Amino acid sequence: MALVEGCSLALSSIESERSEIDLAALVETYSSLLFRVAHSVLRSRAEAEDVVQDVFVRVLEHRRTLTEVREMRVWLVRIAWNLSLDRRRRIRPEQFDEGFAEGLVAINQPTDEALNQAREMGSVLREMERLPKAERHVLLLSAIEELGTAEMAEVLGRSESAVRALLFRARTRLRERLERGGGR
Amino acid sequence: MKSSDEAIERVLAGLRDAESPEGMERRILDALEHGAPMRTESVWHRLLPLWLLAPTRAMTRVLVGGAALAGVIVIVFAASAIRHAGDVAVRSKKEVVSAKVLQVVPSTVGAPLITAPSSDIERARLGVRIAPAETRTVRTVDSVGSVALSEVRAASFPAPPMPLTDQEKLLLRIAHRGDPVEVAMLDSNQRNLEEMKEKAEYQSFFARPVIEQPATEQATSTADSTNDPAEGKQVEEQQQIPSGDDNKNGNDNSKSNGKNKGETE
Repeated sequence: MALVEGCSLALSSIESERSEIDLAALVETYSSLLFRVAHSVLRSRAEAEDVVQDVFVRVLEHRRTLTEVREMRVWLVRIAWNLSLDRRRRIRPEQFDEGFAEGLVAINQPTDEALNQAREMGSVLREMERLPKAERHVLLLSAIEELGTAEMAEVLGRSESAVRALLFRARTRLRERLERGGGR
Repeated sequence: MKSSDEAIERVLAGLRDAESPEGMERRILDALEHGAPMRTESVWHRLLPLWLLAPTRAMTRVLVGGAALAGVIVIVFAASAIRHAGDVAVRSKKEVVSAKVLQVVPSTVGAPLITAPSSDIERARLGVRIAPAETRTVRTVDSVGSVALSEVRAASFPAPPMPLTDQEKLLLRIAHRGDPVEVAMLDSNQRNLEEMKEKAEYQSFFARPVIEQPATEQATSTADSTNDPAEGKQVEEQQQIPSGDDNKNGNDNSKSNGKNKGETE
């Protein structure tokens, strides 16, 4: 905490006096949320951290207009979401799915069972990638429980009812596909 | 059914529970403190995939050079096109002005060289290209009119005369024979003098005695042979002067005078 306060003082000397937003407080408050948003899209910790850093660089660039931002939380999530989607075009998130799925398996299980579970997690991630884009986006954002339906609707630019419908369809479609392909 | 739901929930829980790496906040704040973000990416870096970025840097200079060259070529072509368009505009302006001057020429020069046709049909028939009335009235500026007038009044350069044909040369030779003599004969005084001279020559040639006369009569005959009236008068006056010594001569002279009269008669 003391470290954050020191950085806050240093940054305040760098920033212009007109900027009334404390950037260090923003980093402390929202960095973990933004990391999860980016990680849900990219499934890579390093890439997600880069996205979070880019988000705060954008904040620094727009520091003079930060006072006009009504909901800082939604605004930051939206920036992180769009930057993650941009970065996703340049990397292949499938290459990180295997490592992420292995990380989801409990450590104290036998090897063969852990292997089966990791394969099952991998199939779920693959089927999620095959979902329609809108449904996939809603499903990924819903995984972050900190975001409500209204905030998800604002980030995605859709209505709340549409978000709810998309979420229901995404879950249903994903379940059906997983049951249909359970023999694989 | 149950297994799939469990799998979905475990994946979503894994995404939800993803923890940020240790020291992420500190690294981000350090990067922001130094002012320059560690991974500031240009628009190209954001838009292009990674495998396209490496050769792009090498090709950027080539592309920029090509673009600069293309720009120079475009500028050169545009300049030439603008210059050509300006020449065409000046030429068309001159045409319009000269067409306008057609109506001015009769009053300024004197003799009407060309009269502009009154109707458009006549213009079309004669092939004269004249601007519409509105434009003509607009373009009758003093400077333009003076330029057009100067062009009209400029000295013309006719074609050199063709050489004469043989028939024309023959006609000229016949018509202009002895020109100086004929012109001189038009003057009456000159003509009288010339006639008198010819007559005197004729008289002097045909009045000479062909047969030789005696020596005593030669003087009188020579004196009489000259038809000069002034000399004759002098001779008569000498004969009329009385002198005692010359009575004989006077008689002789009277005789000779009588002979002369007879000869002249």
